[in-house]
Order: sequence, then structure tokens, then C-alpha cells
Amino acid sequence: MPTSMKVSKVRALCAALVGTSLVASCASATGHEGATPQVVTVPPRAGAEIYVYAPWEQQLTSYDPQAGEVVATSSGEDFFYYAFGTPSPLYTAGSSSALGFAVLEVGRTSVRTVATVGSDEAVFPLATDGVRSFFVVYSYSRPGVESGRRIVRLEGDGSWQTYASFAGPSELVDKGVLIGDQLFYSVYDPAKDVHTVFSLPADDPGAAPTLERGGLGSGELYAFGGHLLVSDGTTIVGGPRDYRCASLCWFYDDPAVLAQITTEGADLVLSVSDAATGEELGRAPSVVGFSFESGTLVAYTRHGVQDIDLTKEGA
Amino acid sequence: MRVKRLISVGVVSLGLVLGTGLSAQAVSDDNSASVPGGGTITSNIWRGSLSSSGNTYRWDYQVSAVYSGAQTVTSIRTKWTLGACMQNSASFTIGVSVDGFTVGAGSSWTCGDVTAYWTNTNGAKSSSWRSTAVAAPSKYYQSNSIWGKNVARVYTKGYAQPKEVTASV
Repeated sequence: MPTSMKVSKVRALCAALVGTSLVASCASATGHEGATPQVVTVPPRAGAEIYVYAPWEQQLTSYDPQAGEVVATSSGEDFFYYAFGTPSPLYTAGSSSALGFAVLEVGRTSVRTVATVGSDEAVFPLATDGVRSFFVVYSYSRPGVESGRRIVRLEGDGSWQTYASFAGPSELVDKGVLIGDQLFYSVYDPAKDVHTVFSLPADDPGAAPTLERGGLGSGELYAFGGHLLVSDGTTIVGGPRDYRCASLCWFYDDPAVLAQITTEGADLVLSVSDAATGEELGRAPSVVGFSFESGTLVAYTRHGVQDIDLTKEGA
Repeated sequence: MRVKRLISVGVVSLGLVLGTGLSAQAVSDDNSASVPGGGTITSNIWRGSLSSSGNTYRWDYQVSAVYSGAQTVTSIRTKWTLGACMQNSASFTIGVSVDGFTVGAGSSWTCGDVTAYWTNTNGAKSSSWRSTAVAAPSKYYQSNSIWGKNVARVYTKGYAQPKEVTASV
């Protein structure tokens, strides 16, 4: 349960344009005090190459769509990119050991630092509708020792608005989803091994949370057709049908499809199915990443670019 | 859809396959790291000794990721890469559905590698894969050039950040 509410502007907008192999920290790019470690890496990109996020790897790649191959990949000790579960150009990136986390806006050919957190914090995406973006900030009292978490909203000027704070290891705010004007989020209690789902008004940082669901075996939350979907760890329920999908699952409303990445025969396979019927609409082996572009799912694979038509006519 | 076989080109050298030093001994490696929230993740890789079968060389191998600790695992993965150097249109496969690689014609040694993936999302605390790597024909395999690495990754309930550790032979 949230224990305190506060409003803070932790770090100012950096808007540091980057295009090299190393993103200068927000602070060092603007000459401010308290520089964060320079651990956020962006792979080098040239010519017609584009940035493609690789969800399984949780890394950013430079991908050559003409050759159909990965040219370079971000890397570093305990360094990963973190994405929202719904479409957004915003990612967070940092090292869970060295920290130095930042919020990045990733375009096809550019990466921009939007915001950072403190040198004793990490930040992870929670939920977005493409306009309002919520994150979870982990605070550390010393390296590897977490002291609490808070749900924050990223404001247009790069500052953070705190919506809820959580103390101690018994309140591990986990996953979230935005449905209309409500932010749903799950909190994990490791002592009881259960998740509880709460909701907050997305535009009211002072509101008290509402208990929505208790006793869940998984914290995974999804939105589909305006409904909240939950998971038991292997099956997603609450929609027009049940979906076998444990992780790396994405729902889209128009057209209504479920995309997922699984390992099959030791390969990474992207499959897309009709969310109403379960009918498979297409699959892409050796997938690196994908984008959803109005009726077409564009799969970037290690064997080229593959378009999967999601319309019934093209299926 | 454009399809292109991925071949990672690495060190190129010249030489002859000799009848000795063909990585004949079994080798293994393991490494562990602490996981956020408690416990450890261990990456293991084992490669058996070289065996000859007809005109091919074969190596059994096994990779695994093992979580030891009290946390509930949501996903545990292995990602392994095996590589070797070949010449004269020879090929190298690792016994998975992922394509192996075939080097170009010519006597120059060309090195390539193949990467494969496996995930357990059923709450299990380990994930493993065992198969066989094959170099064919054997006379176009560069002695002692086979190598491998395994990256183990674990996700635990309530933590956004995974933990990864690598073992290599």
C-alpha cells in the first residue's frame, strides 16, 4: 500500500541528442552537478540502418533492413533496455549494478535522453497510453540493497510526479497498465507469494488507491478492448478468451491481435494470432524485434524483414 | 520477405588440418552471480570430446541455467553460441532448428557461429539444452577452433531487472 504521497521534480529535461556508441549522461551533457554514471549505451548506427528494440534480449540493436541483419547491439554489465507493454517510443536503460538509469526516446534513426533519475535509483516502465507515461523508480540505500519504490509519471518538461510510494521488500510494485483514465498496478508480497492489483486515477496524483484484485499468482497485467486482463503465470484471463502466454505478450485493439515471442526448437519465434478466435495470422522465425504499423506487423528477423498482414483479407 | 543467412565472419587465417589437437578432450565451465532479491544464477556449459562419424566431426554439448535461492522464478533462460572455423564450403550446425552456417568456397579459414535460445516460464528453477554440434566435412574443420559460450538469465517475481551470467569453453 502506498505510504506517502509527494510531488517532486527529480531531474530536469535533458534532451541530449545522441547518436554515438555512448550516451553522455544527462548531467554531464548539460553540465549539471551530480553526474550519473555513463553506462547507457546506444549501438553505433550508419547509413540506412535503423534502431530496433529486441524484446527477448532487452537490448537496442542497429538493424540493416536492406541486408536484413543486426549490425550492432547495446551491451554492458547488467545493462538492459526496458520497454512498456504497449507501443511507445520511450524506454528506460541502465545497469542494475552500476545504475545510471535514463529514460530514452528511441526513433528509427535517433535516440534522445528525456530524463534521468538519481545515482542511487533505477527506473523501469510501468504503463503508458502513448500520452501519459508511468514508471517505477527503485531506490537503493547501498549497492544492491533496495530501500523502496515509487510510482511516478513523467511530465512534459522531463520532471517526475510521484503518485504512490512503497517501503520495504514486502511491497514490490511490479507491473501496470493504463485503461482509460485509470492506472492499474500490481504489488507483489514475496512472503505470501501473491500479487494484489490496485488502481489510481491517472490524472490525480493525490488520490488514494483502490483495491481491485487480490490473491493473484502473477503480476502480469494487460489491457484489451478496454478490459483488464490478468495472468496466473502461464495463461492470461479476463478477455473474450483465455490466452496461453507467459511473458513477452502484446495485445493490440485495432486489429484485435495478440503477438508473442517464444522459444521454439531453440529459435526465437514471433507469432501473431486473432485475439477473438485464436487463429494464427502469421509467424516470423529468428525474430529480433517488431513494430506495429496500422494493420501490419513488421518483423525484423535475422533473415530479413517480414511483413505480417493482420487484416482478415491478407491472412 | 528477404531471406539472408547470417554468417558472422571472424578471424581468418590459413593453415592445414592436422591429425592432432582437434579439441579431443571434454571441457566445461560454470559461473555464478547474485540475483536482485536473493539467490544466485549459475551458467553451465559442457562440451564433450570430439568424435568422428564418417566424414564429420561431432561434439556433444550441454548448456544450462540454474537458479538457487528462495525467490519465485518467472522465467529462466539459456542463450548459447557455438562457433568454429571452416574452409572450402564446409558447414557447422549445432543440432537445433536455427540454421547453421556454411563458409564460402576457398582455402581460407572462415570462422562463424550459431546462437540458440531456450526459456522455461513454468516456474522451474532451471533451463537446459543438450544436443550435438557437427562440422562437415571433417577435413575442412580447423583444429581446435570450436568454442562455445552460454548466457544464463533469470527473472524473479516482483523484480523488473533480470540477472545474467556467462560461462564459456
